[in-house]
Amino acid sequence: MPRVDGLDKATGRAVYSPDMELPHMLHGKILTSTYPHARILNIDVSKAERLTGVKAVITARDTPDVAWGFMIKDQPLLARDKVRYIGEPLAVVAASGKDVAEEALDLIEVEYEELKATFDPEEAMKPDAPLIHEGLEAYTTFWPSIRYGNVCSHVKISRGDVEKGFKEAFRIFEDRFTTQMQHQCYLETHASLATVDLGGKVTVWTSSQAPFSIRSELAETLRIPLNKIRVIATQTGGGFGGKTDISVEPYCVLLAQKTNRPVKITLSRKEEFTISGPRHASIIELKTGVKRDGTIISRQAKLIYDTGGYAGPGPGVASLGSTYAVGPYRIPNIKVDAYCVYTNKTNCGWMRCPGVVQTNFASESQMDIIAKDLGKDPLDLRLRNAVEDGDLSPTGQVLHNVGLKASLQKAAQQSGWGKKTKEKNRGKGISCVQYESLGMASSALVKVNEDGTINLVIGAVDIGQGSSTILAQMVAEELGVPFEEISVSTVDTEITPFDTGTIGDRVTYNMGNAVRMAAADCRQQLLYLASSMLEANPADLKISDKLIHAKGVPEKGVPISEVSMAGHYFKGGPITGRGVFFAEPPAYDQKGVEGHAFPSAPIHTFAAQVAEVEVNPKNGKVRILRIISAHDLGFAINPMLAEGQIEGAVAMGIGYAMTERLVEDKGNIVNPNFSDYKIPNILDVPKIEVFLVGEKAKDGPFGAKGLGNPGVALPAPAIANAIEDAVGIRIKDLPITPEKVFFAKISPDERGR
Amino acid sequence: MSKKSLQLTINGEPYELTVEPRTTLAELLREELHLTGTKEGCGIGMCGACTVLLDGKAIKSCLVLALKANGKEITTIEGLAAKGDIHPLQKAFIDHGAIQCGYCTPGMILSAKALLDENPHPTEEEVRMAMAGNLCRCTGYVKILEAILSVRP
Amino acid sequence: MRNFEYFRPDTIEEACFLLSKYKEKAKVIAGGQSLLILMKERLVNPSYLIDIKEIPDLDYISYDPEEGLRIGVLATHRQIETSNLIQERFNFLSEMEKKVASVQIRNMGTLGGNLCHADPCGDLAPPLIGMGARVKIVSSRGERSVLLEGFFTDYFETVLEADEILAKIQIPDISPHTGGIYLKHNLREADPAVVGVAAVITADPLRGICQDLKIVLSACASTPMRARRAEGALKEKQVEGNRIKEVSQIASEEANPISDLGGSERYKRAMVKILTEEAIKQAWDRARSI
Repeated sequence: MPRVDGLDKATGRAVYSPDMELPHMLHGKILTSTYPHARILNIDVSKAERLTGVKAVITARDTPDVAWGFMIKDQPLLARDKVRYIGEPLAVVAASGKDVAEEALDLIEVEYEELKATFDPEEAMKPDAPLIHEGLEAYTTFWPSIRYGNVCSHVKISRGDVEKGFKEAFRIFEDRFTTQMQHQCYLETHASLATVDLGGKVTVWTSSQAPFSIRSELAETLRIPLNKIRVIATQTGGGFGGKTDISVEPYCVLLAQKTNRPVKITLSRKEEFTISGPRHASIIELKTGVKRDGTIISRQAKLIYDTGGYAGPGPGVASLGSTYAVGPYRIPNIKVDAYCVYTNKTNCGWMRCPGVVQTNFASESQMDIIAKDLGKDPLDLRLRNAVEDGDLSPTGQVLHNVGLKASLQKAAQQSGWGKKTKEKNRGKGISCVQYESLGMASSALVKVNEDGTINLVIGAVDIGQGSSTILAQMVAEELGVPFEEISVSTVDTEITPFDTGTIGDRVTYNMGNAVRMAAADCRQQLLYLASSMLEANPADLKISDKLIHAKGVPEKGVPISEVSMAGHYFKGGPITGRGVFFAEPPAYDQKGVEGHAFPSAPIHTFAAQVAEVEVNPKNGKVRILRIISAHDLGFAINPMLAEGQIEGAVAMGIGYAMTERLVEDKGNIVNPNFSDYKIPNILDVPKIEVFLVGEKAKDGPFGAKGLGNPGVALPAPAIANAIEDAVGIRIKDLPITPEKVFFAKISPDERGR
Repeated sequence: MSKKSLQLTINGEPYELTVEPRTTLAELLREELHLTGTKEGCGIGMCGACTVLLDGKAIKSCLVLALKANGKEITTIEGLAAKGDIHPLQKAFIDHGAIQCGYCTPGMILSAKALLDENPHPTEEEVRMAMAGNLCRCTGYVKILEAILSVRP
Repeated sequence: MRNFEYFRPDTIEEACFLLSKYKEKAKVIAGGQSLLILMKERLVNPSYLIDIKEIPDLDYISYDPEEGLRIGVLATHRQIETSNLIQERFNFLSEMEKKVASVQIRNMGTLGGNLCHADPCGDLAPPLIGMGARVKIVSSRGERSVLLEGFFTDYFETVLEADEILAKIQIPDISPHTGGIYLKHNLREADPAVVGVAAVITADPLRGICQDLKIVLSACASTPMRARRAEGALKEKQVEGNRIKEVSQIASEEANPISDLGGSERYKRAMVKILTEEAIKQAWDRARSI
């Protein structure tokens, strides 16, 4: 079933934030820090203010003294006394044109006093490292976080006794892995447009995955009550986690307030790479003890996430990473320490499958290291240890609807696993992953219009993944009306009911349940109204083909439109269905988990992948021949959209594995453009075969779970494992560039460099 | 710096304009003529979201000065469908699920159109080569390839 | 971009006149695919832009038995890629063009613009130098002809004076039994070269040796460079396995790449060796099959 917004997008009619225009609109631009760590002595904006065409210049002193942050409240909107990374916003300008605004930036004079900067997270963790946030202890967080020095969050998970496990182990494996910063690279850069009316009411059009988060963060940072902020989501050109929290919105509002005119800011691609939050780079040390038969009895993980100058979502990333660091395996003894560390580098953010893309590279690579050493088939090793229904997650949550083995077996079967390839320098590698759908609140309204058509009013943004389409499909299914007669609202925080956001694979599951409930509520109301018209018991009625009738007697039915019309104009009232869903956070082992922001999740998804590669030992280039990806997502409401999501996730994972790396040098991003930061193009992506497996989830709407994230976490380890299979070298540092493969193959002493 | 006059045809309609020389074609289309179907994703001609057809050839409008289009025919995504109907490529993209966030879509469709106008029966390899200048972050290109290959007459 | 005055001369003479008037304050633009990026980054800020793209009859691709291949400065990459003439007689130029950037860039970008941009990792210069190309340079003061090999002086710099324009490229006819190829190493398909090697070899079929050759490297120095020592080791000699390896080794030592985002100096040298080996083999095969 094609998506609802396809026609608008295919004809160029869809409106994204950068396309928006209002009369008398001004253009905003942001001035950012040129030092990685420095005290701000003075900012002189007088020359900029005097430039013809400049209408306002704002610095920290013009803003409320509020530190914000979804996880830790450590970040000002504009740097106040200190800057902590190159690219930190210092001032914003509104002018009649973009060029004027840019010239104004050149006229702002900033006096810095340089401070010693730290670029290495392991250095930052040392006791004598200069403190990046002196006030860390006093900051507010929404969960009991453990923090000290430059470690803004320390997450601990433990179960059993790892040391005892290591003593009993037949063999112990210790490996260190490192991963790089990856940028979301949504094709549409951040853009917002804000207006303020005379009563102080703020309206913001923005590209965002979570308009209600934008609203609450604007309320918090600008000290405006929630009812006076209206956030309208324009069509979003991709998010992948990077458009969850405020970015340019507060600057647009501040400038609109000061100038009394609409203000738009669109980030350039270069600014995206320097201001906006990429995926955290990480250092992962895994120590695993196994029995001779391959059973894992003990796994210890030390994870270091380099979060940059501010915490951002870092602690959340570290929390999620810590849960899945030991892999989707049944392990009696676990010890995980995840550290989210401040450095004076780019502030990192949420990105698809956060925290877990990193850990999965490590843990799934090590599984193959173990398999090779023990002489076991990597698939068998995984199947031997894979979790099943009823097993515990690392945080002690009971798992249900576990489609891990099914995913592994499907991927293996479809890829011809076990059949040794005769061709030289070719190999196959397998990987698997467990991820979760976030919970948190969703609500929905379904309105039946007088003519029987339906308006689905929801606050969940479709950022391209197709949520609007599948939610409409759910309503169609539940209400027995044609899909074509359902319109899905745009997201407007003033009108659409609350939803936590399009993040963490949560929309299908959470919003889906809310939508289903709302549709069911409508159904009840329709049947009740119809019951008096048909002189029947509502329990004996059903809806099919837009007709409400007694079961078994479709000829004596009444159209929905008639019932609705009657409700509107004669008796009973208009029909509006309401649904609210807030999954109870499931129980977990509270004793074994400390400092964790998301210790349990309502539902988990599983996936497995096989990559087939061919390595050219002459130059180290790795050609990916095929990727076979099997995903347990419960039930695919729209298989075409589900496949599309997975294919995109795999492509992003291939970029992570092979070509993408945000390069930093002393705090400076060296490659802030699409020439030097390389995302896969159509020539780089091989055949991707997607298979959907799994049983319907018992509490997912129509049995569906989440989907969009895990695909990204599979390619890097699958490809690394395939390379090992092909040419016998093991790369433990991402991305896997031809140069690394070349030197590993040619001179083994360069391995792991 | 003096503005210069510019005469061109866009989607079959003649335009007479005066523009600042530094205006790019992308800026002209988007900001001055409000044809926002053409997108900008990078500004340096790498992502292809700004692709339009100039005398039938695919070009990156962010790397072309508006004045260079003087006397030329430009086709943007808005001009693709004959009155009322959508172009087979647009239909194919919709039907094959080749659209997710939609930001790369206008550029993709126009690049594909330029290819098929020149070579109605491209091989898969030829399609990949022709589309190498259009980046997509959402789809992994799989369904885009399928959609384009399905339109061969 | 900063603002500028825009001219669109109808003839090359007019263009020369404007250039002689404004000299360093002016820049010539053809396809603009390289220049506009520099102007957007404000690395280059001309007060006057002279657009020569619409000057008629400067995009020819023609062949003359005496002069050889003649390409007008405004011929686009795409025209070169798809030209029947080039595919028949100088096919490896068309091959090379297929891998330059993307179709959209090739539709606008010109040969002249590419050469004048003088990016040492450009793909066009090495094969053209390998074929002994000459360029004609014009100005109000007259005209001169220069070997393409001597045209580049440094990163993004050429011998062009402030009032000069590149007008034509001429490639002498290929001697019989000559084969050429350009190979580049890059990270992602369609990327610019991390290093590139062009080899043009003329075989002496009677004596079974390499009669003449040119090995030209891209991205190995501040300009495209001839690997002369490597050439010397193969000229007038038998082309066989061990010698090819030796010659490639020499080329990798002669090359002067620097460590950057594309790779370390060590890796680049290793790639020069591999590409040179492959390029010589293929050029030699082609030379003998004609």
